[in-house]
Amino acid sequence: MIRSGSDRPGNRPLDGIRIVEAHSPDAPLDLRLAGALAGRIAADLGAAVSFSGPPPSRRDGLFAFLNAGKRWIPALRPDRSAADVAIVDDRLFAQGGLAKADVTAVLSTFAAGAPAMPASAFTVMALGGLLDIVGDPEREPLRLGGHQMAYAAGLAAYTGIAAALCGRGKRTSAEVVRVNMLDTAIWLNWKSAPVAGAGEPPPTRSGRAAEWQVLRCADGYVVLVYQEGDWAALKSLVGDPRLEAAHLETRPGRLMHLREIAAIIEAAFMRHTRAEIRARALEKRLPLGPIWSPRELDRDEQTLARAFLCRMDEGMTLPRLPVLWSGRAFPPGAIPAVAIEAEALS
Amino acid sequence: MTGPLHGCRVLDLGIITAGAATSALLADLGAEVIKVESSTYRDPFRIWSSRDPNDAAGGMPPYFRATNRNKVGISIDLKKDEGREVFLRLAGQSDIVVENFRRGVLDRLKLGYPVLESAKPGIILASISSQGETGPDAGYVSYGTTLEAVAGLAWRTGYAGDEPVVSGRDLNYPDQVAAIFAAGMIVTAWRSRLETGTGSHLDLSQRELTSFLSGEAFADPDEETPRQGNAQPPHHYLQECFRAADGVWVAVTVDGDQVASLDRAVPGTGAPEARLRTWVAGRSAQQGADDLTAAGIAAAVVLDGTGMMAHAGNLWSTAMLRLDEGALVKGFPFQLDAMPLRIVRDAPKAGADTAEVLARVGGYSEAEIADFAGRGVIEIA
Repeated sequence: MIRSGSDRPGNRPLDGIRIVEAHSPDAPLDLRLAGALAGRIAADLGAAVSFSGPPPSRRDGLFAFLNAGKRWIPALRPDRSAADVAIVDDRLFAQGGLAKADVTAVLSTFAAGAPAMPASAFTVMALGGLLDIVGDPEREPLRLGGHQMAYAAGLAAYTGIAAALCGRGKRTSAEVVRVNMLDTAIWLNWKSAPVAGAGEPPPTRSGRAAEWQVLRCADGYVVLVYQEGDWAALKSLVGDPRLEAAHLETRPGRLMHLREIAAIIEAAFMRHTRAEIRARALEKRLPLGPIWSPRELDRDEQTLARAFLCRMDEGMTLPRLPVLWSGRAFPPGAIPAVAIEAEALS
Repeated sequence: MTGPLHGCRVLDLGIITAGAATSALLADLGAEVIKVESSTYRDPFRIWSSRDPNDAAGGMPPYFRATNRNKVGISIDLKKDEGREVFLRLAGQSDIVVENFRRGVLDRLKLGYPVLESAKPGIILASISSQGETGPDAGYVSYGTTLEAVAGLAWRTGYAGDEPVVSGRDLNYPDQVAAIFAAGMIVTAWRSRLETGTGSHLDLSQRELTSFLSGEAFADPDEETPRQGNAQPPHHYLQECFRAADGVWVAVTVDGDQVASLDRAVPGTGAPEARLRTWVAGRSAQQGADDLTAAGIAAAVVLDGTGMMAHAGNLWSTAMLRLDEGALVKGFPFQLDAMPLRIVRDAPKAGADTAEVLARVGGYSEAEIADFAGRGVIEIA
């Protein structure tokens, strides 16, 4: 665990770049989250990032994660604010955005020109096939935990901004980076599109009938993940002679008996902890996935060895940017004291 | 107008999704991307997704095509000393190398960052791995779904009060986001290289990225409820999928300031969620979604891969695109107005461009290339 917040090294890749995040008053939450994630990445890499708007009601984990290393400004003059990059929602962009920015990342729910309709990240995931593919076929389609849709759009926004900054000097006009959540959703879910031909049935959620599924073990859960080439090593790890049966010798045969396989392996896993299964998987080079909670990852050996989690001055724990740059980490900056600044202004 | 990465050359050792899709984005942005395979090691996507027996003989399987369009393809046996020398000569004329081998493979090939840096000062090496270059789990192998488990995402995904759930092999969510993030870091490093002349070795851990995308859960681990189904308090008043009369699901999000709208659209007594469940069950999914959105409430029919294509050109535009010959391939997760991302060529057959690239980039003569091919150092399709 390393401390962060008040102690940040200089000379970072985006030093000297000024970024402003601004949104229309009625911008959907998920577009704000997407823009904030893009800004957080840029801030960690050295950009001077400001965000505007009313102070949040509380400085919770979401606020801390997305705004570490940024500066809060209560009000913004779009016509006067000098920034290299503006991150805005499509409604603010339609009103003129930030006039002086060389690069403007415009976040929207749907592609430009789409008919206006109420939507959320959840309904975008529905339209993009991301709900249909997760969960149990007998139950509701299921979203991935947290704010994955907004954050994936935020990653796309950051990459678009970085590319646009590379294009400086090669273009004669300001650059606009277009990011919408539905295009991002479908880009993520490309294997559901009929790339193999229109006649192929698209994948859907298969729950307990899936080849890769969640199994119980002595102290929690482990995801059974393996490819055809892993079968011998998996049999060896499990050590149950029933897996040697002739009807399980080939993958087509195994696909017809997935529940049987899962039951055999789960019975073996129930005699072992996640840590024991992790050690055996590492030894046999099997891609099994012991399921850890964020709290448990705080003490995880790999997390500790790579100093991935940073203890902030405020006592919170935040992940650093998930890249080491020639061995160098970019820990998050200080969590802005918005509430205090807001009180001082009133 | 050329793309923002025009003039940048990439040697792409990336395979499957995380590696190959990263390089594909660089190609979309205008970089020249040279996919490097060998006669003994193909991108597994050439075989995995094949439903056509001809594909095993070097054809063009759809998943491979979707992820490797916009690249040229060469084939060098990196396990041979001369093959390695050919690769290093090409590296000397390149700017970026992308790889997502198992940890240790690049070093065993004697192609680690110090060697590449000697061949081309200022080169950027992007190493996309499961757990990162270092640490006790550096040798842990994974697919995207493994990462959901070990990174904390699976712990947060699932029906309320029930066991964890993963996205599975058809989505492999962490592999998809890894490509966007890795491309962003590489582009940032390229900009630094242009400004300072300094290269870098980017150590990109997919596990760390997956955890990063659950960042708020690490900040508030005590407040985090393990699994909440589709609900997202306190951000949304009500959020769930409801089954309509035609058996199709409708996804609905109601915010706190929309409760009155919901009461008008779905009148009756009882809890809003129960009312909505009964109301949706009494009409088709499309009718339910239309009526709710008309009332100002976010709602959509839950679509599969076929259904999502129906909104192409209307609600979405760039995510999936067709090549000139009609094949559907991955498009772009973002677009630029002034220097737009473009797809200009189909994916390469293995070794299709070996001779051309070795001559143009490596400066090899026709006789040298023929000699390499004759001795199995390179493969010419």
